[in-house]
Amino acid sequence: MTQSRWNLFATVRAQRLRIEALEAEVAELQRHYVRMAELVDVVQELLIPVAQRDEARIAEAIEAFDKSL
Amino acid sequence: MTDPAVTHVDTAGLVLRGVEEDRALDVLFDERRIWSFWSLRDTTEGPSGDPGERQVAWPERMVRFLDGATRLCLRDHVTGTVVYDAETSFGDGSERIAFVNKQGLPIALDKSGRFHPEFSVRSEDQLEPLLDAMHLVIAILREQGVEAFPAYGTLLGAVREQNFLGHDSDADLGYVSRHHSPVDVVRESFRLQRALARHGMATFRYSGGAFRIDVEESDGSVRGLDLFGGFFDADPAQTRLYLMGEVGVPFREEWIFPLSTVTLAGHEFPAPAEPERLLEAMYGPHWRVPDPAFKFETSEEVRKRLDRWFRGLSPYRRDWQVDQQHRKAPVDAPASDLARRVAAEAAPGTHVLDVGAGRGIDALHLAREGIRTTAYDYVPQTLRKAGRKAAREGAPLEVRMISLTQLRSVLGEGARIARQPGPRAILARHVLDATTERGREGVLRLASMTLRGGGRLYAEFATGEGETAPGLYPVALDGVVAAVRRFGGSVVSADVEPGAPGHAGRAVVVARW
Repeated sequence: MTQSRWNLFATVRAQRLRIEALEAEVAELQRHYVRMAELVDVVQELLIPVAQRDEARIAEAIEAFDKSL
Repeated sequence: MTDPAVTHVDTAGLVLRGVEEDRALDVLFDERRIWSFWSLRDTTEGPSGDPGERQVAWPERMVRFLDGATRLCLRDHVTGTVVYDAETSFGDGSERIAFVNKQGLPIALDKSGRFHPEFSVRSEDQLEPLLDAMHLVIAILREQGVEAFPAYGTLLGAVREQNFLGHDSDADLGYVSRHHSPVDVVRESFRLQRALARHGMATFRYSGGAFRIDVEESDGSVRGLDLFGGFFDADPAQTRLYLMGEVGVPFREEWIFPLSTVTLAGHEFPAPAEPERLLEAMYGPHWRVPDPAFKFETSEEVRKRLDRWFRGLSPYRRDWQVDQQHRKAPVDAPASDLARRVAAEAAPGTHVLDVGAGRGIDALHLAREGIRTTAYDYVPQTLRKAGRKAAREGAPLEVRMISLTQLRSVLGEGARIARQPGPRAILARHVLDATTERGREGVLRLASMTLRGGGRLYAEFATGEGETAPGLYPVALDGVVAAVRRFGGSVVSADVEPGAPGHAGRAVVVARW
């Protein structure tokens, strides 16, 4: 087999490994979507009354939060 | 084309001969369709090995009904040709076989292999509450800026027959979000669920993109209305439509918007601009041909994406919900050793959180000892009996839902408990080994939120190699110990009891915050 053919095989192999690594990275990133959405939702629903220092609304928000899950 | 014939029927199943091509066959008991299957796809080679001979076992859920007499009939679903029709007896029973549920309603297997009252046996007035609920849900969603329409089987029925499909058992709604990122689509779905909950509707979330709305019908039965979210991805070169839980195809926005209308059981509903396009995306090019035993063949690539973007919020839940042994186990059974240990070690006034309480045997025991106890499960139906007993006896037991795999559930409940004064302990028996990594993190996050200042976590789980009780997946002790530390706890003790040969061992970890 010629040298250039070997080089071609090596390049294809290296690129296949690179694609597999990238696919794994994409999968890792995609797994964060739901948690990210959950976090933003909690912050919005529970921390806004906290920031407003409204004790009655804080209690209400915390008690009511799980009713809609 | 010749029709297949049935050569043998018994309590195990059916044998057919002359099966040349794959056809959907309806199985009728006393003239009512109970089950449908495909003559090739769902069967295996017959006992004689002759060409064209195929056998099929009764679905497991049907077997318990098969005692008595019936007029058994097999019919080609599309052509209506009857391939078998005979008075048939199963077992020793002399009565007519009756497929009915606890309320006495006729039931049949739907395409996912579960028994439900079907639309075909419902009268019009029984359907009115469902149709009204569909209108109401669509109106509430519209107020929230989302345009929903009948989807999946409900859209198929509306377009093909202007009615519900007789063999279908639930109603589906879908919508296409104006957002383009799964994160925003999930947040929007949360917001929609909250809006429906504010209107007093009971809901249950399947995934970040879909949830069920329970609708009570006039006869008292509860039927699920499933709401599936979808979106167009942001790639302008080739726009794809993703719709929970089965669609991911190149699609044009003008095939959805502006919405048109369809007629369903005499009611007018919104529909995609070109519903035929969406039906083809859902059911393939042959969507016009009826198929009561249809199985989705979603591509691996689409399924993986939808899984990673949206799913993983309720792993194994259905297994627990349908496990009759689990659901019906007596609640007065003796408490576990670990629960007794918690009772013995808890300081006076300790509030015990029994996480993954199952039937609530331990929780009821602790409450009867006078210890304030909250029993949590993600299948709260199983805890109802323990809750009722405790209430009658005046035992301090509260029953609540928690979903350990849902960050919002853990953070919300953790915050609620953390506001209450007094010492606390968590009992977590066979929950670390009954959930996923996300769920294990949920337990430890809840511990770190509620046990700060000296509270203890008592965890018991299957570990090592080998068999376990159903629904349990052994976890490594090292992993649990490391996770406790990662969430700010310190391990007080970690004991492992090896299992019998071939069986997983049992670990008990006590940790302190």
